Amino acid sequence: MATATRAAAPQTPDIAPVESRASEAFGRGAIDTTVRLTTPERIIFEYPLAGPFRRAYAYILDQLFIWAVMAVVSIAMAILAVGGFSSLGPILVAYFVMSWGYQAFCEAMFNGRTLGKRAAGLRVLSDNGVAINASQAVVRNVVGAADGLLPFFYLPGLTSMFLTSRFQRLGDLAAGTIVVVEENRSRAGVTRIVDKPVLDLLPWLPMRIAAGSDLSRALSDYVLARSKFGPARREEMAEHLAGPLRARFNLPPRASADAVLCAVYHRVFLGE
Amino acid sequence: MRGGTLVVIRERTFLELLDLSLATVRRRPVALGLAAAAGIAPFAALNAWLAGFSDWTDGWYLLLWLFESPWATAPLTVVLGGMMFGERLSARQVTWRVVRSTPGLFVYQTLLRGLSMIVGITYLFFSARQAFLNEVLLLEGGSFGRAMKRSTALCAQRGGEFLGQWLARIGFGLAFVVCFWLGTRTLLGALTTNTLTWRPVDETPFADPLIHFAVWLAIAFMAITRFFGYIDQRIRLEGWEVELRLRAVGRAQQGSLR
Repeated sequence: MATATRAAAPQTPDIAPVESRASEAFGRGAIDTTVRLTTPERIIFEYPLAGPFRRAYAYILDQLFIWAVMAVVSIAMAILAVGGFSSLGPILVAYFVMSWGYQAFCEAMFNGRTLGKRAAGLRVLSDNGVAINASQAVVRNVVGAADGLLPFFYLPGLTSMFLTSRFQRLGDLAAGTIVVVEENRSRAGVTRIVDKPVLDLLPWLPMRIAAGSDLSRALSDYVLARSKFGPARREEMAEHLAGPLRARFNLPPRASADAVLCAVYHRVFLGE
Repeated sequence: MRGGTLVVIRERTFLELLDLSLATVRRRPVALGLAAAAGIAPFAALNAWLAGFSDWTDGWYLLLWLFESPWATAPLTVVLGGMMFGERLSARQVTWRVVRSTPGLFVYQTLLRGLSMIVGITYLFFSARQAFLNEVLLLEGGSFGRAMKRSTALCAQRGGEFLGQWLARIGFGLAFVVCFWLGTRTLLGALTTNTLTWRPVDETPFADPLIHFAVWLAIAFMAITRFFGYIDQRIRLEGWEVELRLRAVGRAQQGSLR
């Protein structure tokens, strides 16, 4: 899922600095398959990159589609030519057009997506984060022929993707493009918690709490996941955030960490 | 749980784990390459020696690779386990951890796996229910008898998925071996001759050292993927991602209170 922030945007005094510190602290310096792109409008997007394995899935789907179209074309031509050899020429022309034109056409027309990429949730973007244009679509697919099956059995493409930090094959390098994942993460609905310790804490909290995206996500993730863990593990996990929240809202120190997070979640997402 | 992990702690899909493995090899090629070579070299030499016998048939290679892969990738798994939490292990420490796990590896990965292979279909049990046996034996230590129980607990509820992942790893591995072998042969042919033509495939492809190199490369890579699969499963079961998020936000909230 892409996340976007505006670079050097004026920060609102309360929430923004807290959020930025929290985001930086999460997984600093560790390896991940994501890329940060700054568009010409200075908007920063963070996308998961598609490496060779995710792209292989989309590639296989596209090849299946091409072969399915070719099967239909071949049958139609064979019927029209009444089984004669005159159908061979149009079939070869159709194969040439499909194998060289299908991906470039789709990527140019459908904003960096072929059918296979759409099914796999991938999209081709310029390496500065904007949508690709028609010439980029053509270049990445024409030069990309060198990455393919012949003559070196995908080795140039694999080697190039292995060596470049953005998993770019030769066609991507020539056209200045990358392939990213566009996940539409399904969000679970709001959960209502009716445990007594949580309800007891609610009067201590203000009716509405303005939480930034980091705090909201942390609370939401915890509440949705807490049923998987035992009480001791819940306390251990929740205490990291419950301590500062107790101090911020003057909550009773004996309130369990789990109840504190659930109560704050209730106020953030349900108000009342 | 300490900070400063090798990879960002979050739940990932299987294809993401494969891509992550590639990114990790790119970032740490020397340490991972040496660990893989140290584990693989003795078995590659053993296979070459065995292949010299007159009654040798190429089918034995498949059996050998199946039995040898948990042993050959043991040093790599130990090194990855250390790297994951910022621990730099010396060669002596890696050797000691592998030696310490030898009885468990022998009983589970050789005897039990061998028995299950005789029956045939039960071999799938290992892939579904004991997917992370190597990681448990090598990285978690603990009592010898506890390993299988722990491994089963890790795979509970996702056994079918892990079986599918095992099959997918084999599929990707095979595809890589074929592409690497044919592509490298063609490339070498193009560099050493004047024409870019395909050389005919030998009657015994296993006589070509390139194919052995490709197989061991695939086995080592898939061991890295399996390790990340193990970490991913622990992230899911033990709530590491949620805990790290709570800790990061808690720290930020603490800072804003000052």
